[in-house]
Amino acid sequence: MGCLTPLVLLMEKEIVENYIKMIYILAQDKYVKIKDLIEILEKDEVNGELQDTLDSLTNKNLISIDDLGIILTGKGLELAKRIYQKHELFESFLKRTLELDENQAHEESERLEHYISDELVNKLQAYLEKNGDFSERNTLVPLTWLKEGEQGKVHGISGGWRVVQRLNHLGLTKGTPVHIIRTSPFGGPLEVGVRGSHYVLGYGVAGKVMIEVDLNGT
Amino acid sequence: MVHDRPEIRVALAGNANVGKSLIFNQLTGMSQIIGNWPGKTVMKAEGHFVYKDFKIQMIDLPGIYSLSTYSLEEIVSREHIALEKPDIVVNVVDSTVLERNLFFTLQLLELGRPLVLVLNLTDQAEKKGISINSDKLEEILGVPVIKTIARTGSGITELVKKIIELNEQTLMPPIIKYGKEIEQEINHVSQLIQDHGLEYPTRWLAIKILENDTEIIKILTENDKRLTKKILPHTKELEDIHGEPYDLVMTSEKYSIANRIAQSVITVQKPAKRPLMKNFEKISTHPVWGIAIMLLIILSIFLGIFAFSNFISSFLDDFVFIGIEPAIQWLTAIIANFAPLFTVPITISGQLIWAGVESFLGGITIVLPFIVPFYILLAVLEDSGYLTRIAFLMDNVMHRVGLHGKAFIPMILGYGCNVPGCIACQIMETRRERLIAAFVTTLIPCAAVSVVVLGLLSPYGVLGFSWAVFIYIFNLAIVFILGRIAFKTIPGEPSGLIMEMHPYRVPSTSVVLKQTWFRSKGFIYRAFPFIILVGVIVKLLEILSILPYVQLFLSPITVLWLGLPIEVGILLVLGFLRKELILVELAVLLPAVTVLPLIQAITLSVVTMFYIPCVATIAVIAREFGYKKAIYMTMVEISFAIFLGGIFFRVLTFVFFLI
Repeated sequence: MGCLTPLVLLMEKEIVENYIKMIYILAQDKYVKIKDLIEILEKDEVNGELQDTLDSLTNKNLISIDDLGIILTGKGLELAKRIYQKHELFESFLKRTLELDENQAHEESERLEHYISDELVNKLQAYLEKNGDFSERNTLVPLTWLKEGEQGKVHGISGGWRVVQRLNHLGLTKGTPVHIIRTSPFGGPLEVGVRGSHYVLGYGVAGKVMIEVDLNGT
Repeated sequence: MVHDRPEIRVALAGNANVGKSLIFNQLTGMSQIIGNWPGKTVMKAEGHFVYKDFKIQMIDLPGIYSLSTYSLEEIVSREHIALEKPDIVVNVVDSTVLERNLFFTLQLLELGRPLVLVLNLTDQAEKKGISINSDKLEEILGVPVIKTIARTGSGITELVKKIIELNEQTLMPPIIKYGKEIEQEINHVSQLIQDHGLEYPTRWLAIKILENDTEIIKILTENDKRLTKKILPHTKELEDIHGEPYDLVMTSEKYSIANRIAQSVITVQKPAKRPLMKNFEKISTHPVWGIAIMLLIILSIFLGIFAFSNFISSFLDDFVFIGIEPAIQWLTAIIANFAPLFTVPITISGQLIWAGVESFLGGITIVLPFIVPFYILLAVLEDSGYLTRIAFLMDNVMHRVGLHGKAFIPMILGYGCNVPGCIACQIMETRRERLIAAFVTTLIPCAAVSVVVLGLLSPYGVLGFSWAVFIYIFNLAIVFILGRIAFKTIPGEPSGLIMEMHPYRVPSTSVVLKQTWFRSKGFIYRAFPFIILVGVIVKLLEILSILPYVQLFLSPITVLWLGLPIEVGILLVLGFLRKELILVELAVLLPAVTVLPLIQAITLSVVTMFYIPCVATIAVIAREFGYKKAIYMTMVEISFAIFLGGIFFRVLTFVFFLI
């Protein structure tokens, strides 16, 4: 269709990809409760758009919904990872190379992540690596993605107020370094070190903590 | 003269596991009164002591991480400091994790009471290579700082002297300031609320309002709706500007301050290596070995307690009964001789009184030798830090029932006795989880049930034992299924595990004993009245010969549905009162039958295991959750047990018929 893609289709693509990305950030390949999704999308109730979008996502085979919640399908997971990586890469580029401030870089990436082609992304990555501008590649991951011995900084905590406040009061404020002391298999709890204290966090709780990881050396 | 000076009222505050209770114990010793905060299920410990001319009254506040609305303990603590306004607040701090403890210190300072900072666990800090410059800390914070090692008592006298000294000075504590912008906001809100005659410290109140503290907003709204209407839109505006809740902004600021302070007073050297401890840490949380070790420890505890309690039991038995029973009989005989007219009523009331006394003594000789060691070992596990490892290992499994790792502990206790098991459900953070945990615990067969089951099945040797094992495993499966159903049907959200992990520590005797005393006392107050009541009721039923009618009334259930002898009707009623009675009375009522047929033995075992906890447990649940829920739970479990029993009866008959 060239450059005359109907506006409606473009907007739908954006909405779809945003939802998928949000679900991915919340729970990767696990279940997300609808209320958690509502909270993170900052919507006040389950209004028409939410329901329509969820239906559309189900029809496109990107998610499936049952009474445990919403979960990404294999196809949805792939799409989410791609969008997420594009966003992260582009945001880093804008911040470090073009020196936009954090908020602006984030806003622009939010818009552009849906339209950058994979080819452009690869070229961009190669360029940045070659030019050494990309000295620090920071990605945002949930705490549960880290392995024993790895560390990062707290970026934010999603979830209900009780959990967010509790974790904050225990020291997991924005920018605080966290390191993983111990993990356990099959979705078991994690033992983490924060400000000199050790905490055990259930897997679900840990998944709500978003961490900024420095991928180049630790 | 001691009586001339007013008492110095001190509140001990600090995180959990910092040695606060140890210091409290050392200072107040035998004068301690341990109870509950009025109307709440939070432990309150008060005591007093005298030093030179001064009398000091001390309250040990619960160990908490923050002064927010997260838990009842936090609310109770802050209310006490804000409203009762103790003369001195002693903030006990864990020297090995100074930064996080300082966060709490900063929160305490906001409440505006004179404060003494106690750097405890200095020996542990040394082992970790951490040394703190207490003079510098004192200078930066503006409050006196004392180093202590509570375990050995080192520094305690200095602490007492400092308390007295600070009290004499009547200096107000320093105000730790936030950034300019935040301070402006605090001043703004302070001015708005200043002249409203509220008892809380103004600055603290202003900060809480900015943080959108739900309790404070509630209290303010009750006090003056117009005030909250004026303030709240303002705070909402602030949050929109900052992009995140003010509470988080303030918390971040406090932690920055705490961090800066900690950095400037701590110096770290290389700690001594402790490879043995490190390895044990690793193994005890290992998914396979950790669980193996845990099961081993639990098993040894149970076997140990059984052996010990049996020994003490028989010892006490002889001691108590040999003396008292003949004495009472002798007394009754004398009265019968001298006042024959009164014989019958005296004999009856005598019998009832004796039944009550006998139950009470029975409680002491049978129940206590079992419960007290239980509580001792529980306190040891708790104080050493092992319970957190158990919660870590079991968190995953517990999630299937919608609970988290800590819930495993009440369940383990339940295998011994449901009463401490249900009481232990208090360690869960939300009401909903306490309810689910309690419900699940009541389904767990306690020692009395085990005695009954084994008594019914052991005549069948290996076959009987296999059936017993099968029933226990079946019970566990049902526990999880019913737990899951409870999880789905009781409204509310599950919370996840968030728990501090401390290095293993040698448990301290005084803390263990104090906890045991508090819990044993609680158990006695809750269970004993029922144990006595039960004994009297049973005797009454016996005297009034009501039992045959009860049997008849229940026969459709017992005989037709469950396929059991008609006498089981009474057994079930008695079992409601105390589980072991099922076995005891079986021998009494069916003397001709020494052994029940296998099918009946199995059916009765199943019913006994599920049908309801004893009255004492129900009393505990009623106290925690209200009578409605207690009755509902009872009804559900009775119906379920009887239903299950009937199914077992029919299936077994069919299966055995085939064989």
